[in-house]
Parts: sequence; C-alpha cells; structure tokens
Amino acid sequence: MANPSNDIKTHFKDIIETNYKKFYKHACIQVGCQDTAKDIVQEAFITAYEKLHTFQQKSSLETWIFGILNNKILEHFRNTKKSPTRFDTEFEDILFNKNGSWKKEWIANDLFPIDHKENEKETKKIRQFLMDCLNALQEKHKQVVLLRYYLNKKTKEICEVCQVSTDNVWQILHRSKLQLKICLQSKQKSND
Amino acid sequence: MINCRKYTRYLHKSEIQPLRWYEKILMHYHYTICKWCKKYTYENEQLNHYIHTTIDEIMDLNNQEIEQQKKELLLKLNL
Repeated sequence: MANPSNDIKTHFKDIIETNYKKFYKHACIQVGCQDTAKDIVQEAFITAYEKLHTFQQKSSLETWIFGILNNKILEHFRNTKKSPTRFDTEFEDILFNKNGSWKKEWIANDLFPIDHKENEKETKKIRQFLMDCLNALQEKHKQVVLLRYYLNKKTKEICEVCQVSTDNVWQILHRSKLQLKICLQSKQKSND
Repeated sequence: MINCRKYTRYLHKSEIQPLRWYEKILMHYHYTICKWCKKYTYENEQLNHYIHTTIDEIMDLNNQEIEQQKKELLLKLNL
C-alpha cells in the first residue's frame, strides 16, 4: 500500500467526521441491523483507506468511498445468501387497464395523511407501512430509491455508485414507485 | 396523446433527467385533462416527501454510540 499524502489523510479524516453518521444510517436501512451496519461501514472505510492510492479523482472522494460502501452492502447480501423479494410481476399491468388508464381500484383517496401533528397517529402508521414496503423492494432498487429520495443524490452520482445508466435509474425508480404504491395501498386496505 | 401509464413513466423519468420538449408537452396536456393523474402526481410528491422524512423519524440512532464508532475507526486507521 502506497503511503497517502498528509493532505489526503486529512481529507479522509474530515469525511469520516462529517459523513460517518450518514453512511451508517444508509447501511442500517439497507441491512436492517445496526451491528451488521457498523461492521460494514467500518470495513468500507478501512478498504477505502487501504486503496487510497487507486483513487483516480474521477468523482469526489466522498462518492468514491460511498461506492465502496454500497459494494460492501451488496457483498453482504451475496454472502448471507439473503434472497431478495423478487417481483417478476409487471406492476404496470396491475395498476393500469389495457388501454393505459388507471384501474379504478388503484385510484387512492389520500394515501398519505397531511404530515401534521393532528394526524400523528395516521402518519406514524403510514410511515411504518412505508418502511415495510421499502424493505420489500429488491436490494438494488431500494438502494437507488434511497440514494435519490433520502440522500438527495444527483442522477450522475447514483449512476456512479450503483453502476447503472441514467435510463436504468429512472426505470428502476418507475418500477419501485409503482411497487410502493401497490404495497402501501394493499397494506392500508388490509388494515381498514 | 398519451395515456395514464405513459404519463407515470414521464413523471418518474422527469425526476431523473430532463424530458424532451415533446414529452413535456404531452405530459402537460395529459395532466390538464386527467384528474386521476393529477391525483397521482400529488401522491407521488407526497411519497417523495415521506421517504425523505420517514427514515429519520423511524430510525432511532444513538449519537453517542456513533461518536464512539467514529473514534474506534480513526484509531484503527491511525488517523
């Protein structure tokens, strides 16, 4: 391992200081266990540090480390042989009629309560449903959804981290959002 | 003219990349005439908002524990 310069060491340390919590949270959501998330995040930072000499500055150092973290998460799923919930169903066929219009039963009446203190109980319930539905997405899909809507990552960064094309990203999001709608509405219906 | 199925594709695509001029026109026109897609557009905005806020609400992370983890890591890396 080549010895990294002091500048890059300082930068690396700053990234740990400022981003550790964000990375850890991301890993927690992905793997669903705080202890495992801790191990994965620490391993990702250590691997990144050991490979610092290979960092080519095509992206920011933070994005590069984040990419390593995401690879570690996928590696974890491969090693634990956790088989993600696979949905081969075409979600569009569930939601839309043959002529492309919405099927009546999927037109929701206020799926989400207004996020307000008065609706606290309702909001809490829908949040729990949403977490369950997010967890039911395929790992890769969940990763893309969270990068975009939780971490507010730009498309370019999502493509780099997940190694997918821009077209893939929106198609993944499209499928995921339809799946989330179906899942949320089904949960609401069975809860009523 | 596009249908609701196509409208949702454009809607989700527009959150990731700029649409072509004709896609924007088709989408806008459909939005003005379809009350269900208006409803879905609102629902989609709400979903984005809820994804963003739910995780912080639901996850109960211990800040002290995180600080401890950071220290542990910096020590391992000798930084």
